[in-house]
Amino acid sequence: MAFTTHHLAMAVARANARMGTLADELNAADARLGDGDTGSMLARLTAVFATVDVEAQPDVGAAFMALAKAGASSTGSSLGTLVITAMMTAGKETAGQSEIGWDRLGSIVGKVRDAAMVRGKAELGAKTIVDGLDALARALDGKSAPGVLGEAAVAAMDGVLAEFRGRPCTMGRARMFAERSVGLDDPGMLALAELVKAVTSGHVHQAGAPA
Amino acid sequence: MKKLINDPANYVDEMLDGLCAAHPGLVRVGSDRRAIARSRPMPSGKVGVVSGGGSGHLPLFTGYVGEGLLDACAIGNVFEGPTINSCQDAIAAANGGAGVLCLFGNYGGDKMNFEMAGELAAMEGIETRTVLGTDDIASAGPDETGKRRGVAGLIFAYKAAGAKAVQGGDLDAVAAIAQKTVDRTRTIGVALSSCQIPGAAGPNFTIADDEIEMGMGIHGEPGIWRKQTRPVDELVDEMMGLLLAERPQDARRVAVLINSLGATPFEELFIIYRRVAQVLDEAGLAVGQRLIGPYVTSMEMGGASISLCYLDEEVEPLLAAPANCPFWQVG
Repeated sequence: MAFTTHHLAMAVARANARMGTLADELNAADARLGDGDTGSMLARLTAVFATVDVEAQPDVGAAFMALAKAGASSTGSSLGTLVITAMMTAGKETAGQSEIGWDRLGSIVGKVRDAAMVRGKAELGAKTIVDGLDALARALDGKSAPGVLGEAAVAAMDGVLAEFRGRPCTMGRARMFAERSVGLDDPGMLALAELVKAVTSGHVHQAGAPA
Repeated sequence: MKKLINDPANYVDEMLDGLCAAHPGLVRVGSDRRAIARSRPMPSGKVGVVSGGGSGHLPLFTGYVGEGLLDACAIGNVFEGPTINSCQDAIAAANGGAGVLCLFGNYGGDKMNFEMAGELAAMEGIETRTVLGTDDIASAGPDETGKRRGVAGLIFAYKAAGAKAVQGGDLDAVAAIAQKTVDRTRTIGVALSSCQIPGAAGPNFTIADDEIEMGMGIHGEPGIWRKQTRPVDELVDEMMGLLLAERPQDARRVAVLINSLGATPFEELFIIYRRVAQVLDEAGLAVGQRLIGPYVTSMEMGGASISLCYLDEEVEPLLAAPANCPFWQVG
């Protein structure tokens, strides 16, 4: 079984459900380094995504683009725009395809990472969501079994958070108080990690089964 | 914190509805109606000047749409950049066929969304230029001015660019004067109390009753130091010292903005200006224009900022040229 709009719809639903409790956690994490609205913004964005009839789209690419279009009218935050950029990138990569092989996920996440770096003018190692995407892409690369992908994704997220927690943020708003960021998770990276865990939870616990 | 609002989810849209109802010269435009434009048609052949940013800072951003200032403005949710769609809508509304200057603060989301909107505008044959407001000296050192945030001093660039466009300047000329004005403007603020995003569980940041924070950003970004409060003359001396340290060698005159962040009253702003004028006089700088009031706020945040725009023979006449918007009239 390959990745279809059904899996994308399930991922959106899981992410939106997770934001119900994650929003306050992310707001609190962001308040230590920024203006404390990361959770609220992402909750609003995933709620908009959840209104999109993903499975009604003609193919996976169109479904990603429908999510991007919906998101583009709902938020203008930097993290939100990176999420929209991710949807557009995935949409271009999967345009016209009714299903995509699980073995392509790593490559697609890599394209998303590259697009986020260009759009956000970010570099690896600056302790941003881009580092999380990089870890995710590398973890998924070369794997094709859904259960294995899920476990690798979760391990990568735990790993990248641990790897960067003790480092300073060197770009974005948090760079202005880099010392204070040492010991804290980057809110964007933390959001990615928690949402990846939520989205892949079915795979981790039911290796091989569809999400 | 108590607020006079209805459903927090409708905060921005109800605010924009009221703004346009009170000022018929402004209209909401675009598919999401999250751009404000002048109700008069955009003159053909005139360079458009647009800005954009998050809500919660009135009169910035939408309040400066008017004659001799902005032609359109994209507006986001509270403390959130405008969406790609609203940036596109603002650019389209300001398109008179001579190109559009996008002039906004140096914030990640705003930059990304205007960049994407500019790419889309180019596909429709609309030429754009971008100039970023970078006047907040507390947000990065003098060797990294490109990393500084845009705060209250951005309105001087609005004024200069808007006047240049009215005079018939082409897109390069309008962009150049905007950049020059940004380059000659410096701001620093001090925060006394917090604000709260409508619907949020708590204030944006906390600060003790007897504390102040020097250099805090307009979204509550941490500043240079947090200490116990002290007489305002001492604060002004420190702030002016930082501002004057970056005085251009050719500067003999300045425009001054003493800005309330929202809750600080006119009385305290004039006490600040009293000391600012003394310091400027001691520094040999004449005041060419003075603005005192709430020009760039953070809702109910307490505190104030001081902006200096170092004038020259090109910038000063543009700041003095006629302009008319709901919150700033000149001439």
